[in-house]
Amino acid sequence: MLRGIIVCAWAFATLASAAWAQDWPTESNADFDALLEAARAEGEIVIMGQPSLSEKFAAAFEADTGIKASFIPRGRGAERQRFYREVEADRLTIDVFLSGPTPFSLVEKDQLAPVRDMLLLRDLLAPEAWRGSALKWVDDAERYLPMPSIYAAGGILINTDIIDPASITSWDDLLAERMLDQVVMHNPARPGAGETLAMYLIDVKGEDFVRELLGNDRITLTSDYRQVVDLVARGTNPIALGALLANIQHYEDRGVDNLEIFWTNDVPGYVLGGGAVLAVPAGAPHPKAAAVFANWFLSQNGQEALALTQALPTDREDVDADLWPEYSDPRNRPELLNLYSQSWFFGTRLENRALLEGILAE
Amino acid sequence: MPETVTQTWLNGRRVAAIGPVVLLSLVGLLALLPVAVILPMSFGLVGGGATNTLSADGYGTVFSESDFSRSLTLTTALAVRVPLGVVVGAWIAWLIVRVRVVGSRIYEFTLWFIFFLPNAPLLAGWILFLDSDYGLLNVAARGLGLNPLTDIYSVGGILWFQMVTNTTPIAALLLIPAMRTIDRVSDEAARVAGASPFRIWRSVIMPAVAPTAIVAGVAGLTRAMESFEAEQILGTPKDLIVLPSLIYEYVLDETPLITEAAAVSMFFIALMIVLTVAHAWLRRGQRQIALRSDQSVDPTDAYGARYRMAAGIGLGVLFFIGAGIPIGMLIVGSFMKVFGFWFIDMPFSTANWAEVLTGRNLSNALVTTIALGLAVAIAASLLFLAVAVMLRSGGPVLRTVVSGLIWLPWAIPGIILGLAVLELSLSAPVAWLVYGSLGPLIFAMLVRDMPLAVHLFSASLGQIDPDADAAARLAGAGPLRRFFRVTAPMIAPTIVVVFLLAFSSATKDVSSLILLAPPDAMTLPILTFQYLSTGAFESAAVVGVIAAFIALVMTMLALRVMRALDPSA
Repeated sequence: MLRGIIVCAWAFATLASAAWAQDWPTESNADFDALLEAARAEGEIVIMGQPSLSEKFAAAFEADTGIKASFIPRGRGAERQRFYREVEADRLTIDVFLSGPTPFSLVEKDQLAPVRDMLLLRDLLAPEAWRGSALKWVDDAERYLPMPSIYAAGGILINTDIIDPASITSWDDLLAERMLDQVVMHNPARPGAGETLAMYLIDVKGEDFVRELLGNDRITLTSDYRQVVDLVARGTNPIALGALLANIQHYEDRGVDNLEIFWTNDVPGYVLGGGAVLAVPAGAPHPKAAAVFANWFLSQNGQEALALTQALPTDREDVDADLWPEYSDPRNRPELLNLYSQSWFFGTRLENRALLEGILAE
Repeated sequence: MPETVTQTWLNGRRVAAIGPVVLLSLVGLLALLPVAVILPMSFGLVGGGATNTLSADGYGTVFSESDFSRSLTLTTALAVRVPLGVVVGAWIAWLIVRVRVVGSRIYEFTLWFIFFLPNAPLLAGWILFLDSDYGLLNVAARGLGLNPLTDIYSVGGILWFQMVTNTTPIAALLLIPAMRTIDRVSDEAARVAGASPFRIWRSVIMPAVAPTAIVAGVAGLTRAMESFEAEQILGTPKDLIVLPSLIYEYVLDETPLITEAAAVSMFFIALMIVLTVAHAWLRRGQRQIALRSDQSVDPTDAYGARYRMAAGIGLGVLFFIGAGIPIGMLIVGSFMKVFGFWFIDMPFSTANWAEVLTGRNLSNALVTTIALGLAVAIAASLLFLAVAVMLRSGGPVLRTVVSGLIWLPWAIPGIILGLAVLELSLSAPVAWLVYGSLGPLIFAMLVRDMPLAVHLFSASLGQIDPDADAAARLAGAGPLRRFFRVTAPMIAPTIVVVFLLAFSSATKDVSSLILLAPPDAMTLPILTFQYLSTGAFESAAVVGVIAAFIALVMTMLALRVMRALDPSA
């Protein structure tokens, strides 16, 4: 409810602002002022990111900087190929790409610009600004792919009208005959949340567990994210694995109150960056505007705009935690594995993926 | 070979020499350029991850995968709707044009309305009605103690949606003009000879429109094979993958399998060549003739008033099911707090409308949709009329080659056409200058529209009595004057139809355009598709209702213009 009121108030304030606000950045410096001036001369920035960012989030950037934000939506489909083809052909129209860790593959080819070098505002790298005393990065070198927002995932979503959370104390309980038929999971054979969860389960519960979970065709599989949550909310399948935060939030915001997500001790879960990892291609057509965006995105204003639009928890200490649901907040949960880290994404994950493919082929 | 009207204007030596070159260049550019990208792509020479080493690994991988054979089987199975759709479409066209059932004007209007509507809004409407959990039909069934009657996320669901939304209406619309050209005394003569209405339809009308029905069938088959949007939304949850969805999956993969996607596309193109040859074989020996009709005879006299009333009511029920239900459900869905949640407190709200109407995506999409539609419609009308004119003046070899090439674009699945145009825009000399504008989108849509537009223009030109042009020539009129004063007025309805078809296709397409849309320039169907694919069904329904309203206005305009040009229509 509180979040709803905050969102409405913020949306009203954003829409009401005809010209950019003068209160950002709160603490500037000569270098940044010169950068902002040059960026305004470029006039525009082209952002590719999740479709939901194209409205209020983009408007907030425009209001704070006076730079027009044009948007190319990156759904869960083939659209991202456009970014990679533009980079490869060196004919870029996209200045900023908000995605997962995959652009890391461009680092080796010198096709990404180092975002760290663009950060001119003092507080962006200040230890006190970030939970854990530092901004997190996908790349171990901490130069190219900042990951300011992370959320807890890998839990079990249930319909509380039908399932008592106390009846599931470990994931092994899900393998019981009466439970398996009630489970819906995002299809692990397709890229996405179900696949990620299955690869993580191989790590913490072992191959045999995943084989038993998926191998008997008892659980319902769907490749539609909305349907994963929808089936739980309706009680058709009151237990879901691989549900997305955005979809759960969609139902809760509209008054559906029988959803609960929880974790068990044997599978503590993991954190993801919510498709909000920032990548700036080398040779972006509006490099100054891209640099201003990087400064804004990692600032309190940028992270607040992101949290308000997507209900994504941020690591920034100065953004109100009421903007996202408590269950998605990873703070005080050090046991969560970071699946957006370079070591997991480009190491363990690939090994587990091969194992998963073997299990699915059986 | 009889002299055709176009031959008489284009009989100058210079035109005769330049015409074939221009014609082949135009058609070749549109038909072959995408293939010229896809073919090397399938061998790993072009596109993402290209290695510059010729390799047939893509083909090997695709053909050895069970996903390929599974999706080929499903794609073929889903194509069964085409012959059925053509037969039902022919029956509907006959009832509207020849029998003129009660309400036939409204039914023709509805056919055009469905045609102008993008698929995505209708999908949302059908989901809300037929979903096995929350579809209104199944909610009602459960209320009566019955099991769910339908599941939209199934082979049957896809077949149903395609039959009522695309296959049947398009076949009917293609057959309506052909039905109008049949000699008006035919029905009466058959009736006097003792034939029942069904017998007249089967033995008199159907043989007369058989060439158009074959074209509608071939066209429907190729479109069915590459249909993507409904299959993606309705098939994905149950892992029902058709070939275009498989291509999409390849492109979607974390490491995109562009080579494999292109290999599947080349398989399509080979299939298309087979269909084109089959089409040519089926039409062998058929000669297009100028039809003359006795305007004083009313074909409806052959059918009694009672039959016209009964058939009209039957058709009304059919149209209510096919159009009324999904549109009604779409409007209801746009006001639902949570799509399909009928029994929560206060299930309806105007919040979805407020959110979409105050956002900037909608206004951007409206402007882009109209600008793109107009640009494509104008370009397609002018360009393809010129192609048809030159095609009719060419020799038999040129005609055979060009006629085959013209159908080629329909063999290219939309998503691959989008990738090919993206590749062209990024790598071809000069082409990248228009990348990021509407240019690549217009090019992609012209490629898509060429087969039907050229066919319609060719058929229309073929039906003009050559004597009319010859008389004008004898009176001293030059080629341009003869074209604008004699021929153009006679084919004006076809020009309008092609204009509207091109406008409509540009404002309906998702798969060809999704990779090409400039920043802040989504079209309405892409916006709807984005909402649907990210689970925001309520917002998709709102945009769908707006798209339906635009389609309604388009239909009214279209029919008004067509009836002004051809009062018999």
